[in-house]
Amino acid sequence: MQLNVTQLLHRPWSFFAQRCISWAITFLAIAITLCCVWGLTVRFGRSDLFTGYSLLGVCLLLAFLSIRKRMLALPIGPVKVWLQIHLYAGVLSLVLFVLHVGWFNGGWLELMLGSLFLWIAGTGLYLWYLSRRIPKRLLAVGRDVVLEEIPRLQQQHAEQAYELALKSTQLGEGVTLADYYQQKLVPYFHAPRSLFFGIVPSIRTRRRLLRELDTLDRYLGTEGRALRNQICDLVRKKDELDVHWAMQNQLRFCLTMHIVGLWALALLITVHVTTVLAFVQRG
Amino acid sequence: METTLPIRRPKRWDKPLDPALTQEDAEWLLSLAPLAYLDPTKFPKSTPLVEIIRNDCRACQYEHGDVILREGDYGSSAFLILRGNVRIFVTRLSEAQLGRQATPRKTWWQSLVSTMRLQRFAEVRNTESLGATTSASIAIRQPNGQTHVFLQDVDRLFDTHQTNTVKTGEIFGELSAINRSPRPFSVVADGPVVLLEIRWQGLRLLRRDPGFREHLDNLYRQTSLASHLREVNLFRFLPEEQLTAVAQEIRFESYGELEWYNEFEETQQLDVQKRIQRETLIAEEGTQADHLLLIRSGFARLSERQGSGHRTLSYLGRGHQYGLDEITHNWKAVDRTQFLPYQRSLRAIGYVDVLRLPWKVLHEKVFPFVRASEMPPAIKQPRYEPTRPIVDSPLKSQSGEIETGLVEFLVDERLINGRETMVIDTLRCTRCDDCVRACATFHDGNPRFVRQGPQYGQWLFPHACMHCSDPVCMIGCPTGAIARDTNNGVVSINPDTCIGCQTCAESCPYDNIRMVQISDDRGRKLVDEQNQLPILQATKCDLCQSHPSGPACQRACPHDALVRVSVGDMPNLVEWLKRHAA
Repeated sequence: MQLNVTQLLHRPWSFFAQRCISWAITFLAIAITLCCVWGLTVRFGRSDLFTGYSLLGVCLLLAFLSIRKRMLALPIGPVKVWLQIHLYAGVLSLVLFVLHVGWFNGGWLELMLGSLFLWIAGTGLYLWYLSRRIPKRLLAVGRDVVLEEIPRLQQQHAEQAYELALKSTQLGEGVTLADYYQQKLVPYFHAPRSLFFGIVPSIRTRRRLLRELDTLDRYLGTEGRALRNQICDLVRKKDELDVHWAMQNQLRFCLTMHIVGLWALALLITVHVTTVLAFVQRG
Repeated sequence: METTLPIRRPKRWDKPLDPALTQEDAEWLLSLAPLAYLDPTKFPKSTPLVEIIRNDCRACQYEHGDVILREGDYGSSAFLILRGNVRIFVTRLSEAQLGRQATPRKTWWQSLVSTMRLQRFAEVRNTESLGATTSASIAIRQPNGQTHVFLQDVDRLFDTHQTNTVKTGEIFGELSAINRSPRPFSVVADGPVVLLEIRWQGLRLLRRDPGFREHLDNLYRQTSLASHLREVNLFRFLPEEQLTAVAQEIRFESYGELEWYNEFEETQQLDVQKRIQRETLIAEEGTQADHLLLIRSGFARLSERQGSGHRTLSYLGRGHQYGLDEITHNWKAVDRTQFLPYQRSLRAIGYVDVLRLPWKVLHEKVFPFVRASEMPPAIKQPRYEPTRPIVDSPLKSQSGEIETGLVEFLVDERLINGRETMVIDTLRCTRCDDCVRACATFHDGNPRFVRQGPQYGQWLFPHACMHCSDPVCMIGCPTGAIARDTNNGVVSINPDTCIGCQTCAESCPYDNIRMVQISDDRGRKLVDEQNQLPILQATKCDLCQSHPSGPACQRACPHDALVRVSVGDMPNLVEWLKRHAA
């Protein structure tokens, strides 16, 4: 059978195969870098310049993902390929960073530069973790919701809960449900969730509310229980929306932090490189 | 309290095509040739011929130069000429002459510049070209509330193009109306003309007349049967003489409802078992495997009994066949008493056209010319055998390589109709909305899909145009603004000729076409100068066909979670699903 290279390249690789190939290329690049650094060191060459320029090059490559996303019409492959390049180049950049900085002994500019680099690496790693965690978590939540739709749906659920609570007072079963709504559900439906929930969304509050609503059964008649069930349903739906809101915003917030850091890093790198070049030329 | 409300049972023809058409009109029409040649005794009492004419027909008037049919359009009516002549264009009219806008392909540089440009207002249109149509050769007139497109310089076009004249008493457009296939030619009025439009429901009923049926069958036999058969592996290498003999033995049949999309939402509300019972049964498992069925158009559900319901195994589309396994098995069998019946049932999903070929013809005229290696293997463990009792098979959660539930879902939601369906793997999608942003970037700031839609497990099918195999949105567009590109199959809307009638948006059973209010380049909303009502236009995904990069949504997804895939092409879909499910 003839080996058709074009077919081979266009074959959809399995994700496992893609990962193996990408790691192999990354390790090869790291190995080549280490060899070069070792070679320069034993020959008394400027390995710091080599790692510095290499790091600069890799940083430019990393920054290119952002440009690629904005210039989708460019015929240079889909974004998914560039994200993979970004991830593995990120690993290489960490190795280069360690080789370049070594045991840190610079001034305040270098300290800021190093901190910023680590900040970007940290947010990048967290984004990578989120990109794997969020889909699973949101799929487990159930229905899929677009972020922009969430405030409208939250408002809708809050209004429905209010209507149900009001209706319960007209059943002749007392104000049990209405009182509970007033005390516990008004803040739940109308106030934003805590910052902690925004970072680590959990179903603790939902469970507590549902448990408490369950215990109200003994004070309710048949119609009251039916209303209670509907309120429970709304509590669940509201919690699902909150989880969506928290997770989707978390991703956007981290991405913003990552990109803001990137621009600040670009500025400091310019200063750093200019300074270094000035000293190198003098020296 | 009463729990039931007696009403008059809804009947066929409660809504006639033309309520103004009277019994006398229908009888007069039946006295004209060729309707006079139809045999009224061939029609049952429930659907008498005169009622078919009265309820499924209407008279239409066209002026000189009016375009009656446009090549490539989809329609569900045939036309009988009552008075006057029409011309069929044998040589093609250009897209511009037909009022279509051939989407100009941008260069990479133009594409880059256009996507970098910031658009300040939503849905901006060029007010100069709106309503005026794109070419100087056509215009729109609206007699009696109907919209007709006419060719301005029609006489010159008659001179420069090869045309055939169709005269009073002749019928045209019947084949594409019955088969739901694109119109093969354009038809233009040559002088004032009066036509009798016959909708497909009526055409189907008229097939009861042997003469009319033979006319339609011969027409199909002459025009496209041979090429259709050659597309099927089984007949590919059959000698010409044998193929002609096979073609003579073929019977044409239609099942289901051509206008399935009208009842789609209502059907979705039904119980699963009732839904499947509503589908027309074409062939039933356990009955004699006496015919090979070739799907000509539409879709069919392949299922087998499971408990008190039916389990969908697969769906068949154009070019697929049913019954070949059983007929081949029987051909190889020595003892005719051991002939196997059909092992699975076949039902029409929406509508389906089939070619029916008797097993004897296959045994005698086809199988001797097919290599043994190309024949399906004998059925090893048949469910139905002549001598053994039927036992319910154990429940399987997989149908081949795909989850049974997903197959049922795709069929129930009619997603099998999609040729370029957007599928999102929500186990990889981070909801970053890069796909929506990319879509907006490529369409002057206006996204052409919504990242929401039917979902089965991790697979989300957003509301994005699927560029369907059966593009029901294209039926009834009065100006031909919505059209399919004959080269790549992309269905797109020409904003210059869209009059905002909403026919396409209402026909689309998937809610993938949105009506939007348009504005000029200064952000002023456009309104009708007569009644100040907003001017709307239909918008939908066009697969970014004007850009060389292809669909921006797929290109922009950083997590490889989004794909445009033909759901009708099951192997292709399975490959993608398998890769993602792994």
